[in-house]
Amino acid sequence: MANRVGTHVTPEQLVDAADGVQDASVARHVDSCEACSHRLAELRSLMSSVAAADEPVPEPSPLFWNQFQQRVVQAARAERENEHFFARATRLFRPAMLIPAAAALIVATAVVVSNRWRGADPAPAVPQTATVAPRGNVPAAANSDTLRDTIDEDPSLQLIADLTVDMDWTSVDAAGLTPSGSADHAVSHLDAQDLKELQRLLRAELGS
Amino acid sequence: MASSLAWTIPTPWPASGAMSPADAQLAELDERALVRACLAGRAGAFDLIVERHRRPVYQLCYRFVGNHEDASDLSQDVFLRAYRGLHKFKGQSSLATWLYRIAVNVSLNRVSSKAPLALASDSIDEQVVVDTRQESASDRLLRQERGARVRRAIAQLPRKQRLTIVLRTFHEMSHQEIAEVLGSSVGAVKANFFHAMANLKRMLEDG
Repeated sequence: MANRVGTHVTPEQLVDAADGVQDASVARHVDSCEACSHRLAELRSLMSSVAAADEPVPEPSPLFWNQFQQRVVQAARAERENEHFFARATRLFRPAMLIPAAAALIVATAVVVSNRWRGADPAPAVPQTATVAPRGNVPAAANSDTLRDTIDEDPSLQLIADLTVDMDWTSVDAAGLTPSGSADHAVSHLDAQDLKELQRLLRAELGS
Repeated sequence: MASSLAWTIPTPWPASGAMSPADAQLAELDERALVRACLAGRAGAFDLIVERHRRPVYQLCYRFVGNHEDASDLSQDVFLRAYRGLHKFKGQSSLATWLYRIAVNVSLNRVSSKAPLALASDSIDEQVVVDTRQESASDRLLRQERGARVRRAIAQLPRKQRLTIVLRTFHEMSHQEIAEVLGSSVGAVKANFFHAMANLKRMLEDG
């Protein structure tokens, strides 16, 4: 930082000198060098002019500051809530969650395919013992042995078969449970009202 | 379940306007601890950061755009960006310097680099009233005209030179702080300032 004799001070050293933080060697040079002394005086004069040209920024009202604070904090809150929403969504799709989800999807697909394949079997899953009238695609002459096997394998079908074994077609039809002609379709497409009606009928049958 | 979880996540602002004992504790924290508290989700921490720094940030933005509405929008943007990037604040500079850096970037994005920096109104009528009891009307007029000329000249300077003058002279920042805000060295800041002064002298002499 020391200034060699005969070398003018650098701009940085002049700025420091104008700020009053020059080191001794710079001060000695400026005192003895007319050019550097002139440059320093000029710089100080300009700095004074610039400082005098400043205009304080108008102070906003206290009401503005209150509203500003609220706006900023509310906007930050909204960002935070969005951030949490996306963070939760991201967590759902991280690899550790995707593996079990994929496994569950595979199992569900297998079940659906299996059920459809079973449904395509020449023997439809219409319990022969039930008095639901066959319509549409359901063959009239179903293989009773295959149906019995299907019912035996599926506890839910067995339950339905047991509950509906003595129901007559008129009651089922009157309940609107056979829109497309098969008990399977009707049972799997019940709305809340139909389900309630079916429950009522079943209770009536069981109670009798 | 998810919706109920959302209400249990701590948020860095108070549920009501009242100052709780926890908020009072926050007020005693230094800025690094305050940032940590905000990142940890302490209620009211971000509120306090905004409250402490909103005025200088607003003033800096105002010097860029020269009007209250834009300065208000820019300041809000500064704090939102700060909120998003608070985890990047490492405490190597002061929080004020870090916020100033964001304010400079946000303001420069808003104002084209070629557009003059709005230092203040050139209208003499709108200039601040100073103590003129010792000053004649003609002296006052001369001073105001000279100030307006200097401001116009500063507005014509290259961007970094302008910024250096604004931060140093009008915001009383040290060369070190300016270097942190502008992402340059202290030596470069001093050189910028010197060259800004040399350019100003030339422009003022040319008329």
